[in-house]
Amino acid sequence: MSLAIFLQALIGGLINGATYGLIAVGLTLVFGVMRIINFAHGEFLMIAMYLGYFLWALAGVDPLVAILAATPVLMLCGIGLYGGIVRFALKVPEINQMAVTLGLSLLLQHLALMLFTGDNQLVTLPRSTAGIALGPVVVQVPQLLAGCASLVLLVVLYLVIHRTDFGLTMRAVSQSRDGASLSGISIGKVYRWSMAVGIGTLGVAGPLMVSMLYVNPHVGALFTLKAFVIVIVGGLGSFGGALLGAMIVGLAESLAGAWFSASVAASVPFLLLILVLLMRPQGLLVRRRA
Amino acid sequence: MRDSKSLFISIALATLGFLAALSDRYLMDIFVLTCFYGTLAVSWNLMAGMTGLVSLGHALFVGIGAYSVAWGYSVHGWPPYVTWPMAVLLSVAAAAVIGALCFRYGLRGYFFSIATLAFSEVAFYVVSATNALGRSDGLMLLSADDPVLHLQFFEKWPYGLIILVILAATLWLGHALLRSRTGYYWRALRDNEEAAETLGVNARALKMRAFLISAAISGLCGAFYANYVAFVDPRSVLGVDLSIQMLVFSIIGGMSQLWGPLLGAALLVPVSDFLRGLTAIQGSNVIFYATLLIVLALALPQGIAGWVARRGRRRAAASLAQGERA
Repeated sequence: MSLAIFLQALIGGLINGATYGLIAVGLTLVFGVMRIINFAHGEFLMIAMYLGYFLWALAGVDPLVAILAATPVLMLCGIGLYGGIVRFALKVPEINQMAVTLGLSLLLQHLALMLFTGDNQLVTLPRSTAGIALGPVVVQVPQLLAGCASLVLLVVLYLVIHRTDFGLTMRAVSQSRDGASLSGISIGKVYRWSMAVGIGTLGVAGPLMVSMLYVNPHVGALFTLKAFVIVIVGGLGSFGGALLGAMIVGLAESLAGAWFSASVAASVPFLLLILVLLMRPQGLLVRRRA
Repeated sequence: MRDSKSLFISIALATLGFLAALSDRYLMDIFVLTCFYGTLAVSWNLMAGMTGLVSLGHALFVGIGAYSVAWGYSVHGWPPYVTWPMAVLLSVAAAAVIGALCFRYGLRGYFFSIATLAFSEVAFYVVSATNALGRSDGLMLLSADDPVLHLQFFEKWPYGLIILVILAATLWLGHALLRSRTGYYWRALRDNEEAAETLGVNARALKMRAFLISAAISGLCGAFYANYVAFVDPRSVLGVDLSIQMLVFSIIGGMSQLWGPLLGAALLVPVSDFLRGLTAIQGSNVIFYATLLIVLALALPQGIAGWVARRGRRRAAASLAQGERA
């Protein structure tokens, strides 16, 4: 393999990794605070992608502007998800929680199939095919935009979690639910807003992605699985871990794609997941609890 | 004795279903699919509901079973009396490797579920890329010169009979296991692993036993599926959807009873087929059972079977109390 192909795969992998990071951070945030795994996470990404697509197809809105509309809508979805379903799911056994979010994922997929049909949709802009040459490597403009926007948002999220009072209450609840409750933190409120932020990040990711990847009702399932891999590789509930995991998965996928067939490359993230689960089940960036 | 009663009732009802379906090919098809999913869900629940190991990758074993038959037949012309035992053995071997890794490193809860999911996804993509297994196009089982030997029947009822026997044997085996020492240990592990281990229960060996038995039955079901449908592809036998279906049937039917998952399949398979025929709307059957899943998982955490069993216990207690008063 020539150096140029390797570099191309490397840059492509890192840029994909940044977008994956944005998707996975929402999942890990919700798990960190509520200890619930949302199997319908990818379906909310699918909704955000459709929002981006229809705003462009019906009103000609640029996906970058569509973020401003999609993010509040997805935050409302998150609040609705908490109030309508998750609030009750927290009271039932773990396997029932799994069943509830799996059921939601199936429901949203097939509702989307009913409303939008199974056709692939894509936003095509003049800049979609434009590329920027960096030495031997050509970077597609939509990819670059998505990568940069993801990094900016990840920085903003990091600051929210580590530098604001809301972030402090979130971290407190994630460390000790009862302790936080005794200190006067309203658990329900923190849960609701964590869900809003966790799902809201998808409102940024969705419109960015629909200009480089086809959206169809089943696109979310793939990203849910990838997001699982990422957060487990990095460590469930760890912000930095999700970012590291996303970069590793993005790179592994893109490098494997340069060497092997597409199908084998698709299995690489799962091989990685098995390896990490067996060697370091708590994830790369989380210390094992005593 | 109450337990034996429910075993006999479920087998008798399944036999009645078979007799009722004899009249019609379409009904027999529904019956076969109900028993197929029912057996799978019961075997899945031996792990999930009884031992507390929620697998999200059980399609892997169905896939191994189905591909053993499809590959053995279409490449070598092997008959079922060679390929079916091979299907079971290979499924058990795969479960032994996965189980050894997962239990050695103490994966529990969500982590075990996601590890099994990852194994089955790897198999999905590897099979989709393997030429000998027909890649993502799958393998077709063409008609044989000696159809009966290769379990190729024009009528559907022989398949109904075979799957009925498999179902009855699974129920009987599950019943016997749950009343044995092993079954009590399983439920002790499910309820509190640390406490059970403190009392001397060998958690790793017992979890492994549940995993192997469950995988063997799923592999057998996969072998049956390949002979019944005569076509196997990664999407139908190795997909995540199949693994999730076992969970759906078990949650709705109820995981606390052996027959709960069978009840779930018996309710959902016919209804979902009926809905598919009723409306032209794509996926209306999935919308129905996904909604049912969400509502039941929240409102009846023990499923329909758990609700029935609790009512039964309450009635028994009430009649006992009345007897004492009298």
